[in-house]
Amino acid sequence: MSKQMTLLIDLDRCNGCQACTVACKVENNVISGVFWNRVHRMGPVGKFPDKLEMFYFPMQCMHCENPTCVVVCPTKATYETEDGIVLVDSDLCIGCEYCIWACPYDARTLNPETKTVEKCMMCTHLLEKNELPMCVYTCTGGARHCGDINDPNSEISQVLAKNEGRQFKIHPELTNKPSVIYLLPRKGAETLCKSISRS
Amino acid sequence: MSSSIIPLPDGGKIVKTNCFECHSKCGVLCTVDKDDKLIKVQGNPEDPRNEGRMCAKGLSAPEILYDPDRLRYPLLRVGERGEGKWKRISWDEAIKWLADKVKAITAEHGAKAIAYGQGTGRGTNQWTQLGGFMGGEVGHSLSPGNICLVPMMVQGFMQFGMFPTFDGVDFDNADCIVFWGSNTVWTEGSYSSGQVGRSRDRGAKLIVIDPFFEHPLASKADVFVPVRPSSDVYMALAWLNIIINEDLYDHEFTTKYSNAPLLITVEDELPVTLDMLEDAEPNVFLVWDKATQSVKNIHDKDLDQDIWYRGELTLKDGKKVEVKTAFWALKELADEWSPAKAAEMCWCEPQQIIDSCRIYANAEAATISVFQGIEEHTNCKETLHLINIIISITGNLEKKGGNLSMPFWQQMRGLAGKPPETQAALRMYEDGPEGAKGTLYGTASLPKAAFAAMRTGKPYPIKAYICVQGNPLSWAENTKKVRESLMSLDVLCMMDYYMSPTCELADLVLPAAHWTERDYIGDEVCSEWVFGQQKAVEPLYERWSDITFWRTYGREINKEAWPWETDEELFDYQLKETNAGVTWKELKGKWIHHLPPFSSREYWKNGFPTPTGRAELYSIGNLRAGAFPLPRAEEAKETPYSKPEMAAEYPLIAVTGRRYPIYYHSSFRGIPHLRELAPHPMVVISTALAKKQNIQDGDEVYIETVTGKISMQARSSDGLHERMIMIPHGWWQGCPELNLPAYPDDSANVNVLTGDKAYSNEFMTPNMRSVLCKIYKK
Amino acid sequence: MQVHIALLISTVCQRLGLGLFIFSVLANQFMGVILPIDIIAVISLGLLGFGGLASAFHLGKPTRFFNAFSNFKSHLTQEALVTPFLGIALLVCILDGFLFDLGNGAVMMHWVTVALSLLFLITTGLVYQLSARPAWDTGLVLIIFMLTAAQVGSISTMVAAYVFTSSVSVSLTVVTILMFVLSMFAQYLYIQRLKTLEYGVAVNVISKPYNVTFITWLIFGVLTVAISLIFVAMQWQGAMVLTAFGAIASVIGIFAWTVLFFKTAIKVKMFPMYDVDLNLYF
Ligand SMILES: Nc1nc2c(c(=O)[nH]1)N[C@H]1C(S)=C(S)[C@@H](COP(=O)(O)OP(=O)(O)OC[C@H]3O[C@@H](n4cnc5c(=O)[nH]c(N)nc54)[C@H](O)[C@@H]3O)O[C@H]1N2
Ligand SMILES: Nc1nc2c(c(=O)[nH]1)N[C@H]1C(S)=C(S)[C@@H](COP(=O)(O)OP(=O)(O)OC[C@H]3O[C@@H](n4cnc5c(=O)[nH]c(N)nc54)[C@H](O)[C@@H]3O)O[C@H]1N2
Ligand code: SF4
Ligand code: SF4
Ligand code: SF4
Ligand code: SF4
Ligand code: SF4
Ligand SMILES: [Mo]
Repeated sequence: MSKQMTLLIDLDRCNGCQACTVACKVENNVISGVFWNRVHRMGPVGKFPDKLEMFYFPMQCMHCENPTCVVVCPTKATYETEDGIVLVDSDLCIGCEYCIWACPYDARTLNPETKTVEKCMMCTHLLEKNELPMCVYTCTGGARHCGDINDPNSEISQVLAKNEGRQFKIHPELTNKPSVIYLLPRKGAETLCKSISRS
Repeated sequence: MSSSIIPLPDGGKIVKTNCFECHSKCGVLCTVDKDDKLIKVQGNPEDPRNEGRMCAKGLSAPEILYDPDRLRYPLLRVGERGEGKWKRISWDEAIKWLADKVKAITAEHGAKAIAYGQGTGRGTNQWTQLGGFMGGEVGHSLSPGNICLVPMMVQGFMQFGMFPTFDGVDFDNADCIVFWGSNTVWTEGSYSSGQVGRSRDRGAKLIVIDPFFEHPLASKADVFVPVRPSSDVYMALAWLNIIINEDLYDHEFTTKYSNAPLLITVEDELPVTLDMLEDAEPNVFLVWDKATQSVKNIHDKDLDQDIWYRGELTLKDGKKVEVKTAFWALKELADEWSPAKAAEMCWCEPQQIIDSCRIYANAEAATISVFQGIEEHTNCKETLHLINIIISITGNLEKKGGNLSMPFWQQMRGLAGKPPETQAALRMYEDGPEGAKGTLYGTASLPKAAFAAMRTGKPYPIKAYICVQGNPLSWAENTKKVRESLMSLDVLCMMDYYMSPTCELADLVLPAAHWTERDYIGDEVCSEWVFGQQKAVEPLYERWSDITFWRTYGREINKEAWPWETDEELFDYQLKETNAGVTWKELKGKWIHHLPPFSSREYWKNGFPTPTGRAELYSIGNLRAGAFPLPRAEEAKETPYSKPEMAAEYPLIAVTGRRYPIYYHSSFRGIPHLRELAPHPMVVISTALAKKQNIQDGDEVYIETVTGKISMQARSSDGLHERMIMIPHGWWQGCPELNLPAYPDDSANVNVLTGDKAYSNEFMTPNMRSVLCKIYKK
Repeated sequence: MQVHIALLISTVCQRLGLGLFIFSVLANQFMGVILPIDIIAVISLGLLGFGGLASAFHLGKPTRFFNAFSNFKSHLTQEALVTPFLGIALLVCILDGFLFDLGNGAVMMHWVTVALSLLFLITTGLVYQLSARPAWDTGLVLIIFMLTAAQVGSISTMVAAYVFTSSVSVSLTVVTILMFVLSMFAQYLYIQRLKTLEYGVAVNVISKPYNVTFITWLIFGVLTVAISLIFVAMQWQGAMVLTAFGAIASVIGIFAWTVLFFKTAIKVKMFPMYDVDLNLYF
């Protein structure tokens, strides 16, 4: 099977500290107002005190297996690497924003300074050096993992194997086929869990 | 070069050091380019605590280091106080100016007129204290110690002779983890955030006792107990009740290693000592030995002691006295607090108390993390006392996966030397029933009283305040009074990273070196290790390390107290005094050094360094200091129960100062990539209250207490009780780059709201997490 | 989603210009009207050019415009590829009779231009047909894009007929009404469909913040045009003015529709199973 580099994020372990948000910014010199990665909070929603749910949700590019952003990009600035990583070549991008519309995951932003579109690049510059993406490296909760999900020996595959029952993807039914895998919170997301087991 | 500095092929280097942006001092790798520019900071996987992890504020080090708003040179006030007119001077001039002023004031008013202080622990605690002591009269220690750490630490020392509820919380090996008024995953990341996740993956149970469901672990908890702020004392009593009455306590530990069997009088619950029964040395505490059916010295070995003894002893003078064990006293106290009764006071369900307690007490090894949710209350001593008891009798003290001693806390105690003989006589405090005597915190004055002395000259004038790395206009209660007080000073000297609001009022403002620009020792909150926190780059401009300042200035005043000619000498003293077994040079070279564990880790051999040699449920230390030796069910001093009239007008209970993971107190609102994540101060109110008062998210609201009024944006949350609100602290700084406002005139400063009427008598802690208030739309 | 003003202007111009051209050619061929195609082409080219300029303006990096010809799978590339051919075709239609004379070939040329116009409109319409936005994840997007072009094209062809020939044919009027009715029907379906979208992005256009736009569309794009057309059909006195009135209302209506079209194209919610949204407040 060909390589599919991706992220695995354990929502049970994410504590919403925003270290990954900032790590991504610092590592990749992302300017204010633009986020390649940001941690959102769902809830608390429900009835205080014991019928409540809450969890954090880090959002970045899902490095889709069938990325619509690549299909629609008229300049081929957005492309997919052999490793399954979706990248943007900012030297080619014309800032048409078509890819922003076409991405269901809000992963892309037009940089108001460069007027080109940016998003998570999976820290390819670090991967090339055999290092981990900065958000993964620094994650205080140990929630983030990165690697080739098609290699059963990779760390990410082993984490997945151990947590098979909790894995889910965000809207896998969309034609995009997101590659990023999330693990369900063990508690605090009953509504989400229910709706996933239903579908 | 040493192994702590790794040269890079391009002429740069990687420096192993520690982040000092919070107490927990994560090991980090600083990448510095060949032009001595810090280009990257990342966690050091070799640090066994943070294992490479780093939080948002730590990662911002380069931005903080090069922030153009940082102070660069010593500045001397030239305009009116607070006017903002400064003259750049040299360090020599600054030190001389300050020393001359201090000498003149000392000549006129005595050294007691000089107050020294700081903010939270940032590696200078002992030196600030030494500053206070060096005048030979009194150390005021005008710092937030009363609010933070001192209650936990001192009560730990009182009961155990060590301190097991901070970096000794063994998250990694616990089968049950309790966050009790604590959120260390956001606040003390190095030893908690990753470890908690790992343990939960192993199946460890999680309990969160907190008024706020937005605690990042509340939703994940096996039991979340939504307590009314400051009611934890009842919660703890109910736990004790369950643990004793359901026989969930560790019999061996309780009997042999705690002072549960200590004999006390039934009437006034005071210890019975051998010299009361016969002619003997004083201070021989007694237990009942079942084997010999007689009293024995609690220090004796091989006793068959009875924790349930009740009986009569004959005193020297022939009188009889009824005695019982300390454990009986605890049971009697706890029996008054059934889960149902406690739940009523805690505003939670009895079942939540029962379930959480059973999970904790039945776990193989369980650990409790306590912090500001417990400390920042006037009844903090009682709650901490009870929690310490719970940790002890469940056998979780000094147990792997429980609460452990950490060597630094014992070793650091002597660093600043002894307080002056006149300390007790000269320190300022308040007496009386509502008083804040500070029975357990004698090395400091009550901040409120010291501030008052600046304004009023009573009981004697304080004329100068010299403070490093602290921002009293942000940390201290009743900001208006603090401001007035600071305005009345002859000399205010502030050392800071930034021109803080307090710096703005100063006569002398000194530029502090960032941790990336200075050499320090990383020892406090470093678990079993000590670190050479070396600089990554040379200090920029004329920034100095706080230690260099203290030492240089201290030597101008009292060379004997400050014998060290260089910082290195001082570090060597510190390492020697704390028995680290390493010199500064060696430490800097190897970066990390392991410390031998404290003696009580093998308590079965060594006991605990307390008067009874045991983990003290009944605290002899408390008793001797004039505090209650047993815990009591004390209602905090500003709650709907204790102040019903006030609550009629101010019905809401505010918890102030819950931490942001991205800010450190009042710091870093100016760093764009942090500020954009939390751009505005927002008071959190319940969805129900928002509906009732028709407040939409983002609406400006006033928050008002008997003490003052501020305004903030409101946001609603399903995660708290209708009568509770959460108000953040530390808002003054703007972020010009993002066009986000500053808050001058304390318009969003939460401590304008907090009062100076209610304090812990033992620790002088104000009621910052139970503030009666009301809110209304602007 | 955010309303892109430049795209709003350009797509309305394109629909108006090319719709006019297509219906003028159709009218000339089948509806008994004789319109000067060269002048019509001037208008169409003008509108197309103006729209093109506006959309180039929308690009972050307009100077790199030529990069856009790279991905044949992208409807934007396809649109960009059609554009020069369409421009040239329109130019040829204009210059025919001035610089050269195509003679009988002229009609052929007109048809080629119509085909290119259709191709252009189809590729542009398809740009918006996106699965990431449930509102746009339907064939109706293209159908409505084409029908609105037809609607505004046919009514403006009527105006042109009045201007150039002082009269319109019955068949042109019938076709215009038909186009209008079809377009309204499709738009009605679209609005109904919005209410039932999944992913937590269902929209009721009567509610805030859509209602103002919706009502504008209703008043201009539906009622005004309908009333005008009814009177025109009744062969009322001021038919010419009324038609012009209807055409303007139609343009305004399409503007309003397109604003609504953008506004309601909400991105899928990550967790639609919850009543509340993700949030970022501390
Ligand atoms: N990021 C960051 N880290 C920090 C700091 C910072 O400013 N920012 N400050 C540092 C300092 S000096 C300190 S002291 C620590 C504090 O660190 P922590 O005490 O861990 O953090 P807090 O958020 O202050 O409070 C912890 C919890 O107490 C809860 N709480 C409030 N009142 C009560 C109560 O009455 N009962 C119970 N059971 N819970 C209550 C709050 O809801 C909160 O979830 O953090 C340190 N670390
Ligand atoms: N209402 C309310 N008030 C509170 C609290 C609360 O929860 N609620 N929490 C209390 C607690 S626990 C504490 S510990 C205090 C904290 O009080 P402080 O420690 O005073 O916190 P800050 O307001 O951040 O002020 C610290 C100042 O030191 C500067 N600084 C940072 N590092 C250094 C350094 O290395 N050297 C020098 N020279 N300067 C430095 C920063 O720029 C900042 O201006 O606040 C207390 N006040
Ligand atoms: S998440 Fe969006 S940007 Fe990322 S690959 Fe998928 S479609 Fe493209
Ligand atoms: S904005 Fe850039 S990356 Fe996105 S579709 Fe246009 S050219 Fe491609
Ligand atoms: S992988 Fe790199 S670029 Fe992507 S979110 Fe993480 S830090 Fe940012
Ligand atoms: S760093 Fe890890 S724990 Fe923190 S917010 Fe990001 S994913 Fe969650
Ligand atoms: S947790 Fe504290 S020491 Fe660790 S990186 Fe964050 S601020 Fe620095
Ligand atoms: Mo603190």
